[in-house]
Amino acid sequence: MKTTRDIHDLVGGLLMTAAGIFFALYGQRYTFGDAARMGPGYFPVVLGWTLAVLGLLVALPAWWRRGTGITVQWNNLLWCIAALLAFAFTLHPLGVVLSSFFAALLSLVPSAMALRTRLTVCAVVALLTTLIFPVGLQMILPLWPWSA
Amino acid sequence: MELLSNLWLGLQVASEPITLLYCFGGVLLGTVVGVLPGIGALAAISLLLPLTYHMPPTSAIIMLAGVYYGAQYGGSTASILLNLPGTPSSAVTCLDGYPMAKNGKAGVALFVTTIASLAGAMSGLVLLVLFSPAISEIGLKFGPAEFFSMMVLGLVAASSMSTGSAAKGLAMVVFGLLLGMVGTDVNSGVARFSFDVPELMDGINLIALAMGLFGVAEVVRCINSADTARRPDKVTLRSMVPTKADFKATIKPMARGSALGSALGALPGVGPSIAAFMSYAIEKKVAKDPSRFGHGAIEGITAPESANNAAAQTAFVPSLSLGIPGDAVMAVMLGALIIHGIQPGPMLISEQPQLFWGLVVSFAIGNIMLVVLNLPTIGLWVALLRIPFAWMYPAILVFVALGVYSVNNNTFDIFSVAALGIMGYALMVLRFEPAPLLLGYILGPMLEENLRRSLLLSRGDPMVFIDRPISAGLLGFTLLLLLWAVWSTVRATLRSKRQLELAEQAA
Repeated sequence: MKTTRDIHDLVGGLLMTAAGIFFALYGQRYTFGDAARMGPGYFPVVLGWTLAVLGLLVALPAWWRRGTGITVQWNNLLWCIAALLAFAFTLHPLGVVLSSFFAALLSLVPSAMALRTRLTVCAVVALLTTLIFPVGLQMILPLWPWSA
Repeated sequence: MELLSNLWLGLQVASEPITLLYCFGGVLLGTVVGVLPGIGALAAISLLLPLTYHMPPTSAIIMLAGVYYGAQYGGSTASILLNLPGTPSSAVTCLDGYPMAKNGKAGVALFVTTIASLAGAMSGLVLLVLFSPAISEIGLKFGPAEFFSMMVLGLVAASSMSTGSAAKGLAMVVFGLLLGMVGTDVNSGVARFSFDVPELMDGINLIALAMGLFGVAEVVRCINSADTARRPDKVTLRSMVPTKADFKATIKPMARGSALGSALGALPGVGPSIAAFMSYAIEKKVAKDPSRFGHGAIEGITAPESANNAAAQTAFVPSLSLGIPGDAVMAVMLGALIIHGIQPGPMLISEQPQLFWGLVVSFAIGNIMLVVLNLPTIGLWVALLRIPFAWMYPAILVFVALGVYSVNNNTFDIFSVAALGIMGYALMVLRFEPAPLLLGYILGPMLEENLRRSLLLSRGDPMVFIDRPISAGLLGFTLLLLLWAVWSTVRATLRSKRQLELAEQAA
């Protein structure tokens, strides 16, 4: 069997280092000040470099460690995010009822389910959402496309 | 006798019918989210947070707290029946709870964990009542240097004692601190890291961050696990009665777990999960026959369950007496207080006695409600576990979206939750713990503020942190934790390096 290194920590550590360097460099544009009178840039820049070092501390030992490959459930991630975005875009033009039905339908794409159950679940989601938020909590939201 | 009159005040607040109703609603919802794997107390509390804007602050906090400790009760159910932890802190309960269920002792396991939870919670509560007022007296003498050191200790404790490696935990804390920097700097009015997006000038939305890290990421992870989910067997009330031997075997672990959990929970940064893990380790050490653990040892479920419930109660000690949240859930809870215009800090107990004592008494009432809720109605919770996850997660996603939207009535927050959900899932895939990140995010602005203030007072001399005895003590303890973390990391690395070399030689 092929032995793999601990990819999780290797990738994760390097990403943390990258994020730290980004914060440290982007923070250069704010006044740094000195210890007695810190400017808005002082704390983020120091923390950014700290994060960069910590990222290396995560990544380096991982090189000497056995690990398993990374598994990402791309399909699940894609459709869940798509559902959130679709909800955000359609909330005002379409209203709560259709928008939540549509978002639920998108989020159900990665799961195996009969079409009838699928539509029932979405209808229940739309009903519950409408009952809880605009009706129960009296949030001001358009219910239907024509009520906006 | 001051204590008695305070408790009497608390009882008056907590026994108002409307408050009782909120308390019951909180613990009921807590049990539901605790039982269901895939949605935890933190996600539920952040989702409820916008809904509490229209409630009186005491009722709001009582309800949110009910969700938190209610989830500790519910968490063990899924661990025992399905080998899936309902909440992170009940992950340990799987180790011996699931084997017990396979041996046909699921009912007994559910019964003793509920009793152990009650014992733990009550002992934690006693500690909370006795020590919080005293600690807040000390807290009144705290200057910015002490607050800074205390927060550093909390952050280091939260990260170095988390289950993964210490470097990863610390990286998460620092990353969280940096995310907390986004937004307008209070001292200079400069909008930092806002990239000219007007919505980012107020900072990253706390609820969007919590929902992204704990709601969306969990949903994405759990969708497929639901397809293969085992269905739990029915549990009858009769099967829950423990034998005399079972009962005897639970008393001592319960006492040890409660004591350890209460003590650990009161430290900032140490939450119920760590308390549960440590108490399991201790039970294994003191047991006459450690080989029984993992095969259904009753001590292996009672001690951790007592410990995590005790810690869930004493986690309120630093939060309420000093205003320093002990874990991510507490941080969100303090956020709720701030939204209601109540400033957490050492003054809280003396300025808002009805809030503090009402909350404390509501804990006692809520825990009794939980026992009543969990024992006779266990069939209901088992039925809840039979619902496929696919029927629920579309609703969770839509509620998340509408919940964050309701904070500012702005769709920008839904986009942030989508982006932060991707980040949360990436962290989960790469096996980084999101809880220290959230703690860092909340403490970031407070930490910076106190650091700036103390160095301004000392004219830039860092010795101020060491000259003051309390601050020096806290930092000394932090240093010990760091050294211990470094030592154990080095040891683990050397060991795994040898394993890798052996594996490569064999290949």
